[in-house]
Amino acid sequence: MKNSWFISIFVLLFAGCVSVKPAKLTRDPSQITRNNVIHQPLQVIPFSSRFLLFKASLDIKKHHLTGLLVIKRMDSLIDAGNPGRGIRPVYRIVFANEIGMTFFDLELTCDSLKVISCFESLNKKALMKIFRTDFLLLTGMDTMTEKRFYTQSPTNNLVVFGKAGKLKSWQTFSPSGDTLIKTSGKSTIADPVIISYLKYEKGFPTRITVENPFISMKLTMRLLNRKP
Amino acid sequence: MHSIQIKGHALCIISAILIALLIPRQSLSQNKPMNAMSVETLKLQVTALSRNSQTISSDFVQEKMMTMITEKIITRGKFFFKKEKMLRWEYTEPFSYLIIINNDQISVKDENKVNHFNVQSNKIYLEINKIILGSIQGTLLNDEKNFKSIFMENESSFIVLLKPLAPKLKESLTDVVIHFDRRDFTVSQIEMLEPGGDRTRITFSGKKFNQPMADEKFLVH
Repeated sequence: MKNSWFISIFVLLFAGCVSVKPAKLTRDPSQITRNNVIHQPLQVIPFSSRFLLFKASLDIKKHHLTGLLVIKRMDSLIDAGNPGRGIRPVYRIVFANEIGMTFFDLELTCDSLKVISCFESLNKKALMKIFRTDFLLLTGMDTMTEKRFYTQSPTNNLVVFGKAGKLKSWQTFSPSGDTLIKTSGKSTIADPVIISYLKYEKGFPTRITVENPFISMKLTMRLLNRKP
Repeated sequence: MHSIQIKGHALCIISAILIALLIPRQSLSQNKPMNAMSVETLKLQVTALSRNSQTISSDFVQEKMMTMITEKIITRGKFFFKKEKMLRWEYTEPFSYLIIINNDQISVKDENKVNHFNVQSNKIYLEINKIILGSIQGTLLNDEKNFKSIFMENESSFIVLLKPLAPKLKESLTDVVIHFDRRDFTVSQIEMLEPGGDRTRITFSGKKFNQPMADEKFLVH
């Protein structure tokens, strides 16, 4: 009993230490329109594409899953109960192994993550909450408020901070402000996430990594196909 | 009014022609149950083919159809089999991915990363290995312990619908449908249906039998 309390406290302390805030930031409100680029936090991830197909690998602790990840923007929903909220996009996210068997099939809106189907070993509430934060940040679905602008030294990268409910996020752009390098964020101590966008081709990152340091999870994605 | 009647007649005639054209095709393409004698013949022929096939190679096209998503995921590759239990399953488009089963050892090469593990330790590959090798060797048709079989036929194929009985396998697959070419009793298509409605169809083409095949083909470097 004593031990379990100790372990819980240790885990909480450790979790609290996982910081996703980029280091060495200096507040600079003048960067809002640096180089005439108006930054739209969480809309930069260029998921303006309707259909994205990635070769992907998912590592969770000792488990290593590989396959194909589909991110498809479906027809948007209009919130009938609250029309003021406007149109809500819906994404379908499917991860299947190379032979075609589905690991998970998820439907994401800015309010919820619905599990359409999922392998039993992955279908855990805590993991789904983490996936929700990951894919919300990846698809840029939440509208951030309280934006603050920073310069990161020594790279001179532009960092934009924003909040959407409990979710806090930082987006790191190139110094010119036109290329998203990294998104990090968390809504609770259990779901910190760092997303890196690499190897841009024609304005789109062809490699994306999503890391959740709290549960030692890493999703690596290589772009295979993109339909506008 | 008159013109409406003419249009109505024309529509009736066109509809009648279309129905006349469609009905016979539909009835021909419909699957009908096989009788006991045909089932026995199929089993014997598949077993005989398996017994006489030292090596098999083929191209394949794999299509994954997902519910609610209109886009199919299409992958292509090559397949090699050598008796008794050597299998090379190689994806070439749109990515490079290689699975080699050499007796009970599985090797996977994914973007130059190679992993080796025992077939018994990976449930997914264990089942897929059973399905693919079992289809080729014909053993799946007699596996009453793990599958309930329904035999059907149409003008081009014998079709075996296998319903998994093992609870674990049922969680990931509701049906496995194997199409055997009527002309030579070889597997022309395997379709795997998942509980969520997703399905994966693998179609084989350019099949070659008993061509020389070095054992090195089943090694990963």
